[in-house]
Amino acid sequence: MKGSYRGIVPGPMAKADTQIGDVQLVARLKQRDKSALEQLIQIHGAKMYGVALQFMRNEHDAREVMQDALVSIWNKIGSFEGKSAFTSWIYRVTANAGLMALRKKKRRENDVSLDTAASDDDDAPVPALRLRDKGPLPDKAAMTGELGEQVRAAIDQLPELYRVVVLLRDVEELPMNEVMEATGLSEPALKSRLHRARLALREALLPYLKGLDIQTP
Amino acid sequence: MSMKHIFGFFGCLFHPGECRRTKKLLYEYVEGELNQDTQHKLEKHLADCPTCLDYVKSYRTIIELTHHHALADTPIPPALKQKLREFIEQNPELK
Repeated sequence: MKGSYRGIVPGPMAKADTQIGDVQLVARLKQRDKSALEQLIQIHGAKMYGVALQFMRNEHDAREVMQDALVSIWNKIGSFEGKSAFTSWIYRVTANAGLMALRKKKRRENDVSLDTAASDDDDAPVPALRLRDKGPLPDKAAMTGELGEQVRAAIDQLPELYRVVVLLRDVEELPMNEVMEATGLSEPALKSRLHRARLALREALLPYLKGLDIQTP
Repeated sequence: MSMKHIFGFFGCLFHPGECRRTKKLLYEYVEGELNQDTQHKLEKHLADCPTCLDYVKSYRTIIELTHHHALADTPIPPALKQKLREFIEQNPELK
């Protein structure tokens, strides 16, 4: 099912250039060339920042996540064997740094635990998300352009306990066992939370799905 | 509302139990976790019930949209880029 949707992606030449660049980047990082980290920021920093912001929602905390991710990349580059794309690997590292930072923040604030506060009861109401009211829906072309913005706004509105599982599982596509390990959730709790998060997103984005001819009841 | 959906609405009145069951099994179905027999029964219902079929489709679409649109390429503010450069140069963990 995943991978069937095709958005705007770089052309094959651009992709090949990036891959060659990544091979050289990995080699330089493995040779402990610190300037490669700066190049990493130049090439992949925008996406890493996007990941960090999705987790933390503010620039200051996102910067800490990026710093932690840089340290992890530096320390773990030896274990990167090239089985997955380098880009996927660094975004995962950044996502893990984001998750760790959220946990630390929760402990500091003595807030509810990431592992326990959401209702995992299938019959409990799904969280209601309120997207910014922009007036009448735009025409189809404009709506397609606005879709990404609305999807991000909806994810941003999810309670943290739901947002984290969506980011790790549906965005970063970490295997279930890795998400369980990262979040400390049991398998039933993780599945329930992921399902309820998807239902909440569906509910919030219904007008857009309808506008894009994705029929919904 | 199209004829298909009017039909679908009445379809749900005709077999509400199956529609409820579809919603209950939605996650497992989309993740491919159902056994063959249950999956077959559910797909038989989907073939008869446009409302449930659309529900499943929209659920799948949400997963795909989330995957492809969750992360924007967010330009790093120049000041942040500078701070990251300093971090790389000065942090003792990066030796």
